[in-house]
Amino acid sequence: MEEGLEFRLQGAPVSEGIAIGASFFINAQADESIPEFSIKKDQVDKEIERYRLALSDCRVELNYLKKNLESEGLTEAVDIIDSQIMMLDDPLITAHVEEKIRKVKRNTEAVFSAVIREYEKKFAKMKDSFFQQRLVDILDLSKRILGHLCAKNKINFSEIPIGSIVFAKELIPSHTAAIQASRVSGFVTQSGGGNSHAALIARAKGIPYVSSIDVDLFQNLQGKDIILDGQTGEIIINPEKETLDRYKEVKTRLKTSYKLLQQDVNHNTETVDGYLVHVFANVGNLNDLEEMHNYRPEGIGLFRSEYLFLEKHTLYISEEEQYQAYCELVEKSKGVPVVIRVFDIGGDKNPELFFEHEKEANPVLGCRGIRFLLRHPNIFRTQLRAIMRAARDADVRLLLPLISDIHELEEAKRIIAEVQDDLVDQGVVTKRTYQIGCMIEVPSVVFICDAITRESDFLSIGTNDLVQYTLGMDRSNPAMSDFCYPAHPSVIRMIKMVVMEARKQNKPVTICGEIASNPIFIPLLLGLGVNKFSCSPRYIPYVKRAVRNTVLLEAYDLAQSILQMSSPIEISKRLVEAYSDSLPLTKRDKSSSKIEQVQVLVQTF
Amino acid sequence: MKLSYKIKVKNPLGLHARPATVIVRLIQDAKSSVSFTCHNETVNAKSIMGILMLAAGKNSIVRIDVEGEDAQDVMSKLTEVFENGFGE
Repeated sequence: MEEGLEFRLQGAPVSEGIAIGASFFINAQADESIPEFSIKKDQVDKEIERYRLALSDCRVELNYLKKNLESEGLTEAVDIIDSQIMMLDDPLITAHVEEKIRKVKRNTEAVFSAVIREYEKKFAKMKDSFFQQRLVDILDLSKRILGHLCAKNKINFSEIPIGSIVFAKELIPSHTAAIQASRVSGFVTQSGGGNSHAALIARAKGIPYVSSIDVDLFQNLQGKDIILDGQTGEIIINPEKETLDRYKEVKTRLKTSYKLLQQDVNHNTETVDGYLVHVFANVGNLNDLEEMHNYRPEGIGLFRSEYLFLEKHTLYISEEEQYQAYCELVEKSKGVPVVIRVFDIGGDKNPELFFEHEKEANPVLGCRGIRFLLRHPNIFRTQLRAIMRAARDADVRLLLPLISDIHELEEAKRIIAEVQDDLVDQGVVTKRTYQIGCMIEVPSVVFICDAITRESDFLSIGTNDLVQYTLGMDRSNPAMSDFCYPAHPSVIRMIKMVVMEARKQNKPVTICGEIASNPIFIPLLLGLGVNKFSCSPRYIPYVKRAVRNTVLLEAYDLAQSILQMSSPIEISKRLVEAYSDSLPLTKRDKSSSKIEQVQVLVQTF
Repeated sequence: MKLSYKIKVKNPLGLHARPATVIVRLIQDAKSSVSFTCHNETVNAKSIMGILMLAAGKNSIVRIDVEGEDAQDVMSKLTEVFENGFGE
């Protein structure tokens, strides 16, 4: 390809929107030497904390390594690892480096490598070659520590020029979670399907994202002008002025139409025939709460508590630290009901948290969600204590992730009651009732939803996992992302079963998967009897509008006809038709291009 | 209390990583401060990396300085492991 010539690449659209900016390759950066820069006084504690985190990650890794070596009977190697583990506590590694960071006010990597270099020099002077060789152990350890420092820091988002379009091989959730939408204007990755967690976060933050681009081939394009079209999945490199102008115009148009939508979020959400619908927000970050209120949700339908601590890379977070976070959550939610989903870890979400536990061949089918919490009751109890202390009289409800069996639900409820009794006995909190809800995301509980509903105060259908478990398709696999979507009749029938049962027992049920933020699915869901939706705050205006354009009776008919269908393609087609019909504009001018546009919408969700 | 004692390194490989680990394990929770001096270099004996830095091979003489309330106890533990050559 020639320098400066406009050319286009086709990827898979993941998060909609248009981004215009300069490319920034994060993998290209990672291979370079150790970053060195000075830090401000108020960043010192943060740097030190980052350093401690790297050390504790190292410890976890070494312990894991040690266990493996032990099981293979390699005692000599175990000794070496043992002394490395000991060295992690060495004052020269701990206190000395921390003091230096405080003193010289430079980033951890720079200070740490300077300390090691100093040490190296002393060893070089030794006459005894045997001791000189001991340096190997220390250098090995220091490499490991630096690896952890830089791995977590591979993407130092504060260093990315504002407005960049970030190119990476893949994004892990803690990276995407750490990004402020104001800094990064778009993402391009090689792997990561439309339903990966990184994609969910990008969508929630309104960052356009295109995947399935062979990033390695374009490493030499650092700092080039890029247009990213999150609608079509197109990447335009070195755009000509005409192209640029056209996209700028599209971008402004998208912005204005969104603003118009936002203006009527304050009104009640009713269907054309006056059926009241409740819209809640999915939130995973305390900083998003303020903006959330602009969209006037009736409450937080899903607070993903594990996202609060993703950057910590561990779930052993002190009760006090969690308490502070939940207090902030309660305060910032300004009195609306908050459903806190207890730590839902595992699967594709945060494998690094699992490092200290057993490696799983199949983490998505492994020890995640409630299974993890019941196996680690201390983590569960600490979280519950912190939540209950922070909740006091606030309308806080508890949601249990990945329930697949009635005993899990009973056991979790027993622990919740125990923790509360303890707190009441200790005089820390006063007795109150917590509503306890159950996530419906594993097919097994759909079939026993009569029993599950009896034991729960409310239900929440998480369609993303329900789709992947029902279809047996990995949702983070890009090859599957075209097929792994909720228009499958099995999923729709399951939603119906659960909603019917919940209605029979008079228990509320909310839909909180991505399906709840896709306007195309809203009429169908309404027709199935759903009247509570929880979605990313940005999608609330779309959902509210979709509800307002729907006639409940028509939605019911739509649902009945779709329940007769067996082909997902047929179902998507029918949904698109119904949705275009419901749009006031297209009723007058039902052009096929409009349908094509909507078709694109279906795919991007 | 302040104690000082000179001792010979007896094990064949000197104060390498393993003996250093043994020493640090032995005294890391001690209240006293402990330092080793050898070849005119003084280091914190609660640091493996410090001990390694002494490059104390077989037959070198290490001065152990212990200061603190449990000095007596720390010193006797240390001399014992030095005497038996760290079990090597």
